[in-house]
This record gives sequence, structure tokens and C-alpha cells, in this order.
Amino acid sequence: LAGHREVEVSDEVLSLLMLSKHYHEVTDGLFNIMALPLIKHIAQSENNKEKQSHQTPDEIRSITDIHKMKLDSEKSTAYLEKKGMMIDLGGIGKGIALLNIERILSEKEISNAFISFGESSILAKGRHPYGDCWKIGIRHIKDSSQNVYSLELRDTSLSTSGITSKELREIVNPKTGELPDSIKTTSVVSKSPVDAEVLSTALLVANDKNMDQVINKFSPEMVAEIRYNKNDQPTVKELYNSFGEGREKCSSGQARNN
Amino acid sequence: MEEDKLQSRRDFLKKLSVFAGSGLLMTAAPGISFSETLQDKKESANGRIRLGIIGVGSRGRYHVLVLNKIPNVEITAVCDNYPPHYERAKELTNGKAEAYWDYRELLEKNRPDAVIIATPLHEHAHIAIDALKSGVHVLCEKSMAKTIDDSIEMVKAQKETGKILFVGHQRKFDIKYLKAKQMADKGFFGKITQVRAWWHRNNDWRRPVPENHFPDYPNWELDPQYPTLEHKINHRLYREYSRGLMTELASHQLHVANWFMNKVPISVSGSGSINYWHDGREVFDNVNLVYKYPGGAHVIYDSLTSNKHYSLEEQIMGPKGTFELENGKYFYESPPAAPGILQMINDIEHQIFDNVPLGGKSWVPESAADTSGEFFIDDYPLPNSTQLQNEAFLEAVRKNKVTPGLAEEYLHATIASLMGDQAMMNNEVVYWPEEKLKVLDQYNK
Repeated sequence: LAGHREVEVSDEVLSLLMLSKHYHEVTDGLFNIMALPLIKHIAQSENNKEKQSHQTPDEIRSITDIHKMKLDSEKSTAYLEKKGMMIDLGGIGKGIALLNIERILSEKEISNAFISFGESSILAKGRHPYGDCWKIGIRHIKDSSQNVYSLELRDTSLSTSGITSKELREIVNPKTGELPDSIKTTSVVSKSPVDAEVLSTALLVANDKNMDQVINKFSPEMVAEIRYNKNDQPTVKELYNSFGEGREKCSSGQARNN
Repeated sequence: MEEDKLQSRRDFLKKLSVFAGSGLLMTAAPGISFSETLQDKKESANGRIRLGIIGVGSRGRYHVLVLNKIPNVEITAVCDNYPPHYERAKELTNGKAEAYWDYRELLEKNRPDAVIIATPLHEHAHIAIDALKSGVHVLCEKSMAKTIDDSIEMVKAQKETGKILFVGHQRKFDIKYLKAKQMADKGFFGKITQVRAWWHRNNDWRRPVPENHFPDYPNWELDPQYPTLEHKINHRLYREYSRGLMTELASHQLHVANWFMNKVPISVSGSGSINYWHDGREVFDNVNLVYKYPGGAHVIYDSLTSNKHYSLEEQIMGPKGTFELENGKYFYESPPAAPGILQMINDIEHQIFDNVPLGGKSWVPESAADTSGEFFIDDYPLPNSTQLQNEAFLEAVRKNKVTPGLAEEYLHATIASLMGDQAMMNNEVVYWPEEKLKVLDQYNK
């Protein structure tokens, strides 16, 4: 009903959309749930170089403008002002789901759990049955037998976003339409699974200048970027680490029955 | 053509066109052409093939049904010496085809361009040879003949007459198999080191025998080569007419094994018995064989009629992967690592505290490949392989073009199945009949 009329939405959806708008501001536009038409436009013009997409850059800019999504909390309605506007919650949905799961686990007084959504969004609650945290090894994108980066998580969440091949360009800078410059993945550890997911998505398309700026607006525990060169050699760069040097290492040992 | 025939033709070509561009059909045999088939030529008098069907039992009937979907061919004659099948043949062709009791009469009077032979096995060789020698192209159902000598004679007749001889191993025209063959030739497995094939059924393999009385044909007499009507109806169960599971089922799969390995076996040994169906049959109700191929690869083959749990399959294996051809699936030898969460569960079960490996998968949906295998083709349903085979045959007939090596390929499949029978019957290792085959050398110069 984009461009036609407003639609009634549940409180849950409304707050999700509001939250998405908030994240749009915080990330300085790098996170945008309205970017789908832009992605489609780019995919189309890449696949079909001669036949350019019929939409002009201005039109694209207009239908991906999150400010053209009007939310009314009094009436519980959402309105997409332009025809062709689309909402894609792919960069936030799993985080929201993990947040809800976290709440359910707490209600049920479950203190140790490991929840994985397709390995890209993780909730690590409490500890492993045979160790006092959850240890994570992020695998090489091409060679899954190779461990590239290890992390230890306790009562926190991890989100990883990535571009794994030049062909699979699902993530674009919604502000500029730029594609990330190399194959890379970004992992964010944060107490908030929603923060983790939004930030990992946004940082993938951030440039060196706005990267720190964006990270500082969140309070992640750790941010790491893995870049792959032409020979698929990975380089890990910790962009942020609040754990510091003095952090106690995780040790093995069976949980006591208390 | 009538409208529904045209529509079914369009559907068939549509299905086929998906695969035509990929060179897949070329894989069937270099030299087999589908160019006219694919053009959907309209009916034309001069390109029209006059075809006879000899033997209209269950397989012959199926051929007629398939041919009814193919343009530019007319079934001008049918032949069967059993009243219910004779009657059926006339019905299936709407009385348009001339009906004969004796194939010799069919060849002489109807003078078709080509025939399809779907008689019991022991009748294949002399009918095929007579047809070829009277200038008629032949598509003969598998296996070729009851003996290696007769099978060689068939190929000899093909060579001498220059006519076309196809044998009904329709897997050679099955899109799944063609796709697999293409992958195999590109080295998907590395070297093929073993083929395991089996065909399991759980039934007595009998057909009901009616009373030997056909009121419409009071003068009909059972062919004296059959002591009773039971022998005629259930010819597959008697050694006078058949080699049982080896010629009726195994030859298809041995053909596939030879084809994929581009080799023929050196030798075979094995054991067969009647261990369940003690009903007077003379052929084994279970067969078990090991074929040895050059380079040390083996084909392990068995066929059963007392258990169908594993139905049928040809597994083609090498150091890098496996094909399951009947299933239409392939498997990488080293599949991508299991999802991290599975590894974690496994660790916990073994009381191990280790990394939960994450990454890769969720970002690349196409990469999904697990131990349940991958399909060769995901565009089902596929064109019917028997139809594709028959179209290739008809196109060869139209162009009067013999595909080099094809008759030999069929011969080799029959020889492999007859070698297996001999090994089991005589409890001996049976070797590839090099000497016997030398008689064909003169034609390959």
C-alpha cells in the first residue's frame, strides 16, 4: 500500500519501525530498513549493463528515504509516502528475536543457553556445560576448516555480517549506493543483540572516517573486522575492545551442581 | 497432428530445450543427433518414417504409447503371435496399422523403414538379423540376445548391412544420467574406483496365465517352442527363453557402469541361487556378482526378488565423490563442515569444551551442501528417456546415419550380463570374450 494509504500496525511492529528510525539516526544513515529498492536497482544494472534500470537516482533516493515513512503512535499506523517503498527488516529482525528469547529465558530462569540464528546472530547466555563461558571460533569464509578469530562470550550476544563474494552484493551503503570495497565480515559483541546486529550491518558499509564515530554512539563490548585479500588471506582488525588486556581467560571444567 | 498430440509435443520440447543448450544431449553419444527432434518439424510426407512394432507385450505397448507422441512417424504394422496382444496392438493403433502374426510376413509385406523389437529375449537375435538383412533399421529391446555369440551376430549384421541398431538401454538418454556423465567426464570423482549397483524387488515376477482358449481365434495354436502357455507368458523365468535377472534387469545397470567408466570388464565371478521362489522357475531369484575392470576398479552387483527395501540404484564412487544415479543425486566426499551448532552439540555430548565454529553459511545461501546430497537436475519432471531414445533412433533412421561405436556399446552391456550368468551357472571366473569379438575387427578398419 506504499504511496496509497496508511496501514494499521501492531504495537510491536510500530515500536520496531520506530527503533529502526532511531538506529538510522544513530548510524548517520548507514543503517536503513528502506534500502531494498536501491539494492535491487544495483543488482539490476550490474546484471544487465546495457539495459539500465528505469529508475533515476533521484527516484531511488526518494523511495529509500526513511523520513518518508510516517509513523503515528496515537493511531498505531504506518504510512509509506511513495509508491515503490519497501521495508526490509533483515538487518535487525534476528536481533529483535534474540532479545525476545533472552526475555523468555530469564522468565523461565534459564541461566545457561546458546542460541544461534544461522550462525550470524548469537545469544550466549551463561556458560558451556564444560567451561565457564562460550568459546566462538569464526571460520574462514572459503575454508570452513580454518579458524580465523576466536572470542569468548558470557552473557552477551554476537552478530556477524559480511560480504563473501563480489557477486553476492546484498549490502550497500544506503547513503551513497556504494558497495563495500572488499570481501570482509564485521563482528560485533554487545549486551544488546539488537545493537550488535544493527552495528555489524552498518559498519560493513562504513568508511574509515565514520567508523569510529558510529561505534562510539553504541556501547559494544568488542568490534572486529576480518578482511580478505585477493588470495583469500584474512586480516583481523579489532576496531574496538572494551574487554581490555586484563580480562580473565575462560577456563574449562564441568559446571558444579549447585 | 491432432491438437493434444501437438500440445504434448510442445511440452516435451519445452522440457527438452532446457537441457539442449548445455551440450548434454551430445554426451549421450558423440554422433547422436537431436537437431531435427528439437526443431519440432511439422508432419511431412517425405520425412515420415514407416515403423513396425514386433512384440506388443507390456514393453511393446509402452513403445506404441510413446510413439503416439512423436511426429513424423507412423506405425504401419504391428506383430504379435499371442491373441490378446495381437488384439491389443490393433486397438492401440486404432486399426490403422497392418496386423501380423509372423514378423517375417511383416517385413516382407509391409516393408517398413524400421522396426522396434519387444519380443521375449530368445527371439531378439534372429528377428533383428532378419530385419537388418532385409534393409530395415532396428531398435531392439534389451538385452540383445540370450548368448554372446548371437549378440555378436546381431552387431555383425548391423555392420554388414550398414543399417542402424539401437538397443533399449534408455538410461543413455535420461537427462539425469547425461548430466551425471558430463560431470563424471570432467573428473567429479577423480578416478572411478567402484560401482555398486543393485535392483531389488519383492515379488514373484510372474504374470497371470489365462486359460489357453481364445474364442475369437479358434484356430490359434501355441508356438511349439513353448510346452505350455505358462512358459510363453512367464518366459523370463525359464532358461530356454531368458537369463532371468541378468538379462531383464542387470544389463541396464551394467551398461551404465561400462558407460561411466568408459571400459568393459576383464572378468566376473559370483554366485546365484533360488532361495525363496521355489515355484518351478529355472532362473535365479537372486544374483550376486563382482566384476573386475582394467585398473583394478570393481562393479559389485546384486539383484533380489525377496526384499525391496533398497529398490534400485547405481552408486558410482571415486576419491572425490559419489553419484547415486537412480536417485539423481551426487555427494561430495568432503562436504562443507557441519553447522557450528551441530559441532557444539557433538562436543557437549563428548564433554569437550571447544570453540563453536561460526561463519560462512548464513551469508552465502548458495553454499548449502550437506550430507543429504545434491540433485543433478532441479528442473523436474524431466523429458521421458524412452521417448528421447526413440526420437534419437528415428532421427538416425531419417538421416540414415549410424553412430560409430553405439552398437558395440550395447553389445558390451549384454556381454557383461551374460558373463555374469555364466559365472554363476558354472561357478567359475568368466573372462571378457576377446577372441570372439575379434570377428568384429574387420569392420573397424
